[in-house]
Amino acid sequence: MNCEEYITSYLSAHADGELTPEVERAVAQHLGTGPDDGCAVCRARLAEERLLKALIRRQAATVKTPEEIQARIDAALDRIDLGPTPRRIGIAVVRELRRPRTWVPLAAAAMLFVVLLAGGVVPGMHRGASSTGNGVSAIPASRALDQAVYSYETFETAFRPTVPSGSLSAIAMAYGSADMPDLMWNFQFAGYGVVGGRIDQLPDGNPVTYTLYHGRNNDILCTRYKASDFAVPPGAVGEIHGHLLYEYKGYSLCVTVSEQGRFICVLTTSEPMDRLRHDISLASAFSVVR
Amino acid sequence: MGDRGGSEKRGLFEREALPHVDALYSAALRLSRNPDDARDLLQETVLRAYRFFHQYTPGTNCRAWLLTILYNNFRNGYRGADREQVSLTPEDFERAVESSSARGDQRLSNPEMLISEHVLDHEVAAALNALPADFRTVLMLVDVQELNYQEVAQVLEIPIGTVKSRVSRGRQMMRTALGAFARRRGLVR
Repeated sequence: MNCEEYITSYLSAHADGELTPEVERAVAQHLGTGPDDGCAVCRARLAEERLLKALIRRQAATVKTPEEIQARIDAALDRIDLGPTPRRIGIAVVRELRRPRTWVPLAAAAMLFVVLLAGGVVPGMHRGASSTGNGVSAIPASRALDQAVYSYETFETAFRPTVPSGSLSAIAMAYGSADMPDLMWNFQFAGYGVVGGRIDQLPDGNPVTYTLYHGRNNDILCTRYKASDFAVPPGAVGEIHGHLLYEYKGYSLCVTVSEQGRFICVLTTSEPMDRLRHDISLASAFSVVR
Repeated sequence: MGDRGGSEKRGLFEREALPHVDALYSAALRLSRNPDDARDLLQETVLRAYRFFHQYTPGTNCRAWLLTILYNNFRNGYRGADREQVSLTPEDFERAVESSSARGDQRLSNPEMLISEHVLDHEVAAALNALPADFRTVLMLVDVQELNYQEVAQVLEIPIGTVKSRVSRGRQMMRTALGAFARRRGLVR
């Protein structure tokens, strides 16, 4: 090993303790140990590299997290401890709701709530009780997939609009006057018509809108609510035009988290991901200018 | 109020993960470059780590696991998109350093020490900040967070060979910049 080889290929890894045993032996032979043995220049370079590491560490010394932030995190962890876990929403509740296939979807939100209460998962929580007053849901965006799949499976059997649903603009108007996001997906060119819109309540009492689109072979459900955080769920399998794509529990989902509008929007469909991707590529946004 | 399973999980989380919060906050500050975003990024990271704590393998490097979530959050964050930093390339960096020092690349032609204990902290800070983001990130993870190359590769989802070459190139750039500062102050001719 010569100096150039050592410096360009091994110096950094050597200082970081990342050399393999055999390279380490070759390096030790090159560097040597004393004035009459090995390469003093490379030994100096190693010392310098180690000094550089120390300088970087010293400069970027760990910052103490402000107590205010610590407290916020602790409080948020408390809320998670008290709240329903994603698995309970995704599996237990859905199974519970699926049993009576003839139930009236109008009661969907209420039923979810009843089941959660019966399971003792949300102690002390009453419909609307945890509403923060500005309609922001306490359901974090990271649980949006469970929420969306649950809703899809709920409405798969029967979807009854609660707002005038003659057209996309009629639905958008109704959402807007309820102070909900009124930017609508339009899947007309992908071969989907709108079935209707619903304004419902989430388990925590905050409003949510559901818009159902019906295509030749599949449905797409658009679920939207104001989110308390803007974390995106982990595990996206792709992205299209800034929307994140997920494959979850056998469904294809598309998540949009909008900081400006403070809402999370999830498209859910049972069609394969490449179809959803195709539909989104053909979709346009539609909003009513008021 | 939480059930027993919840409080056990909470206890474990507090012992294993929460001691790394300051390290995460430091990393978040450096990534997002302003305290408000760093706070949000930290909070998102800790909460997600808690929700997915069952995926953490006890006995492995918890800090590396947490940093993986943090970097993922940062990369995937909706907010990241419009705040993507314009990053220098290594060539830009070297050109900038060269023009300030009026000397060429001395990595090999000048084997003497360029860096000494006399390097000033603010010079290290300036050099680090000027470093192209990819290189700064690996140096932070290796030198500050003390992760090994394999862990860095996992956190950043890049091949280990890329980690190795970025560390090496990043340190070369740091050395060149710090050498230039020192020459300007007359410490090294």
